[in-house]
Amino acid sequence: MKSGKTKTDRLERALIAAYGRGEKHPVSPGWQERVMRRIRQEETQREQENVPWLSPPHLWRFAASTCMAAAVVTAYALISGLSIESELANEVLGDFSLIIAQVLGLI
Amino acid sequence: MEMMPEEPTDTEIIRRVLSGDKDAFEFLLERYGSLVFGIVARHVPRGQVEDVAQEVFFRAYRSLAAFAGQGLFNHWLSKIAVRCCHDYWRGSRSQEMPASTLTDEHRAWVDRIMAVESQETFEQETERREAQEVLHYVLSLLPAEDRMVLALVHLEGRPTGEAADMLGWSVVKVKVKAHRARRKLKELIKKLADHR
Repeated sequence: MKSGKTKTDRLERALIAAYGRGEKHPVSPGWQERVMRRIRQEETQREQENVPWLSPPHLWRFAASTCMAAAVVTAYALISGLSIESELANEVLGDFSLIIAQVLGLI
Repeated sequence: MEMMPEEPTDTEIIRRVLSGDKDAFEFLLERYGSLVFGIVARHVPRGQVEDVAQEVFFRAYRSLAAFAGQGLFNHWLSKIAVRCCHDYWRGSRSQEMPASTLTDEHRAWVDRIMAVESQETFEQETERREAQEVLHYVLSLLPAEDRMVLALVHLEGRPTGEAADMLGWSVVKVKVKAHRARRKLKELIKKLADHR
C-alpha cells in the first residue's frame, strides 16, 4: 500500500509535468498590427504633449530667473528701507476708496 | 543564385527606432513575438496572453533607450515579459478562480493520478486537459509573488540567480520566497488529495 506522502508527491510531479507540457500559444494574425498601432498612438500623443516652452530645461531656466528676480527685489527693498507690505496696502486701499467714491457718485 | 538581403541585427534595429524610425520596431515584434508568447503563455490564463504580450512589447518600446545594447536583447525582453506576468497577477487577485471551480472531471483526474501504477499511464494522464486545469487552479490560490517564483524555480527549474535577475529581486529573497511557495504548494496539493 502506498503512503499518503507518496501519493501527494506523485500528484505534485504530475502537476510539474503538466506545466512542462503546457500548450503553445501561437502569435495570432493581427496582433503585431495592434501593437504597432498602440505604439504609433503613444508617439503621436507624446509629440502633442511635448510643448517646447514647458519642457524641463525651459521650466528650470524660468524657475531660476524667477528666483533671481525675487532676490533682487528683496535686496532692493532692504537697502532702500521700503516696507513692501505698507506700500502695497496703501496702493490697494487707495484704489478701493477711489472706486467706492466713483460708485457713490461723489467724484 | 539570388542573394538574400541580410537581416538587420538587434542593435541596428534599436538604433533605427531610437533615431525616430518607429516602424523598425516591427522587426523586433516579428523576431521575438514567439519568445514572448512562449513565456507569457506559461504564466497567465490563455485569454490574457495577447494583452500581456502586447504590454511586454509596449514597455520594451518605451524603455528601449535604457537598454542601450547592454547584454542580449532577448534576455532583456524575457525579463520584461516575466515582470509583466508578475504585474498581471498582482493586479488581478480579485479575478482569481474560486475554489469551487474544480469539477468532477478534475477530481476524477486527481484520483487516477494518485492510483496510477505505471510510468506510461502517469505520462498519459499528465497530457490530459484536466492536468493543466488542476495546475492552474492550484496556482490561482497562491499570491502573485509566490506564484511567479514557484513557476520559475520549481516548475521551470531555473537557477535562483536567474530567477532573481528576471524578477529583479535579490537571490536571498528568491530563495526564501521559493522555499515558502513550495511549502504552500505542498499544502494545497495535500488538501486537494484529502478533500477530493
